[in-house]
Amino acid sequence: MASLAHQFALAQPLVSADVVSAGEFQEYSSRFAVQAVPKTVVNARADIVGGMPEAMFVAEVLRAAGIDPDNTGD
Amino acid sequence: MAFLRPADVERVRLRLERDLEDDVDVILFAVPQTGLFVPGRNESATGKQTEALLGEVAALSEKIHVRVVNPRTDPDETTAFGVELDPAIVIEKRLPSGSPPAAAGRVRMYGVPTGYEFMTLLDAVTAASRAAPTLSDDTLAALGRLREPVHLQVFVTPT
Repeated sequence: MASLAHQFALAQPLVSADVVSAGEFQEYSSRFAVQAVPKTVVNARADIVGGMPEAMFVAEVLRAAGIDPDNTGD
Repeated sequence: MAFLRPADVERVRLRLERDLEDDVDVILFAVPQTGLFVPGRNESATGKQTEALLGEVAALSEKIHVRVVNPRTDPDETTAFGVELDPAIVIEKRLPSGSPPAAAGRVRMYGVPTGYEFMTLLDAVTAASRAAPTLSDDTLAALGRLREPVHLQVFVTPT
């Protein structure tokens, strides 16, 4: 997820991606209720928990951004 | 103490030689350690380690340029790169001089990139260096549907 998030940011200027070492920044991580890794937080609100393939991850990011990943007619 | 074992040094050198195209800036934001405790003043616990690790990697390719920024003495640049934690690494393709500035700090790592996160660092440096994305066409089309900024924070634990 970490490398994919970075690649998303490199491919799309609207995306920024941080990879956070949860063990090193425990207090910061607890603000985002990180209990298991990998966990991806989108715009400080939506969560994507666990590892997944590229296609599923980008669909989850779209969904978290309020876009229906299955409706490509927009 | 070296982070990279001799066997890893050669492996990383070969990978960088094979995969890097353009030059990459790797900017470390870390407050230097003084060894003094000052109430209310935080020092980077692992900034020195991170700087040493980045130095070892940069020594393996002339296309990697490491620069260290002290957030305490350069808060403007730290803010401009969206850096929130210490130590932070920002990875960017080096632009030709005179180019308009890129959106700064869209690819960041917080903490020492050891264990599996060392591969994340190499992946980010490689991806920033290359013109063509390694993502599938479907993924690129999906990302193209975004209309508002999206901030991804991936929490990981080095193994």
